[in-house]
Amino acid sequence: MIEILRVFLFGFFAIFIGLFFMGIGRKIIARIQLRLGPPFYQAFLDVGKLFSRKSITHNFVMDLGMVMSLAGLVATMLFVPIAGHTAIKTSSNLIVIMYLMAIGYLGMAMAVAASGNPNATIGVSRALTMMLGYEVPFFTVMLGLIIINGTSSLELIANSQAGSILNWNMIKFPLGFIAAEIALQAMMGEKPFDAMIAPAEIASGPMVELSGKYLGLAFLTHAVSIFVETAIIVNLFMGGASNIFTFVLKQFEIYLITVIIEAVFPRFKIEQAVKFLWTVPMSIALLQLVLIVF
Amino acid sequence: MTSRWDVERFGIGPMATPRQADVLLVTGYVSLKTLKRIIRTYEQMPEPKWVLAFGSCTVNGGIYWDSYNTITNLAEYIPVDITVSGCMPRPEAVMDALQTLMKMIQSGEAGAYKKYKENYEYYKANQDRVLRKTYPILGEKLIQNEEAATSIE
Repeated sequence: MIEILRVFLFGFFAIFIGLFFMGIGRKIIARIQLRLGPPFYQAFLDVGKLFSRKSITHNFVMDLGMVMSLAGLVATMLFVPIAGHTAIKTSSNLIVIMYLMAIGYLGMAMAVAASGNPNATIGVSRALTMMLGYEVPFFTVMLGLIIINGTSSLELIANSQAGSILNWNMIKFPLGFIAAEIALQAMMGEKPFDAMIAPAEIASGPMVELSGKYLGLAFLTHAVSIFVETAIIVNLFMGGASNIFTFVLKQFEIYLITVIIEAVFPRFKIEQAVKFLWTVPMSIALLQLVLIVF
Repeated sequence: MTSRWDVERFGIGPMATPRQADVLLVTGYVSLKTLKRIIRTYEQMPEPKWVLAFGSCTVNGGIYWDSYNTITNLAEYIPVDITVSGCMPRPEAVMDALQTLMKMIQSGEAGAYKKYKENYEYYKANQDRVLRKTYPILGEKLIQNEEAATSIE
């Protein structure tokens, strides 16, 4: 019973922190554009409003896909160590995390393909193409870290960086950190890699048919994905943390970099984005791998 | 709206599709062909939904009051919750209207989408009356073909 409650607690914590980050991110973008911006709790109000609205469904597969995308990401989140706490302990969670993370996107793909809107289908095909783009450099960076630590457990990789700030992988492997950071930008779907959303071009892509509660679920999915992706980077490169407050602060630093890049960049076309991801971060990651191995 | 006026500070933002929208802003004169699209967009929005008619043209036709292919009063075709007059209204007027609409929603005054369901025959008759003009000019035969095609679908 306690175990089940613990799992629920982890899920709610991830959603809460993700929505909080989204609200602060909107405020920061507004300040960069010399606006006042919405209040920081706007994301919570939005989700509350969306869940109170009537929503239009097309078929059963759409309902299932939306729930699957949220459930897939929450399941991923249960394997991520948060300041020494993990909901489900395994010895090689990094591989499980990268494997499960795709389920969220596949669920979304299933839901929007069932809605039958051509804009949504274009958006999802772009999202899956982008996944192909960012996973290659990100996995290369991860491979280097797995080789040097001799383990694929995120806890052990995080613990190996304990002590002073000089032990952080961010300082020891700066090239790998830069490559992972660029891949993270694409992973979160922020500009310049937001060709799958592109509101002016394909009417917000995968979200085009989502109304009310479905859009609310998509918001929650995005919130959990922000949490999971920043948490992976914090564990890999910033040495985890000893308590939850420090951990969330480190996550916020990572998210801040993403948001600041998002605020000033225009959008890549999808083929430009994949080409960029397969040349620039990929060569940086390969260089790092060569430096680690030899 | 532009960053100078910044509607996002009230929690208002543009959405790319009618499925995600709460409020439909009809900005400017409505020609018959636009009306067709407006009705389609309005009916795709999930409830609860509200309509903000913007500018004199949507209230009484404005400078197009005697045009053969624009409508003069939007409220006859879809239920309008709030109107902003002026040609053109200032951005401040639109923001004020949106905030007034928020207050009306909170006090329960704004519920025109319920009227659309209750008096659907009235609105549908008005829509059909003007939309007939947009059918092809080559006569009844084409209309019948079109109706037959839609009934097959």
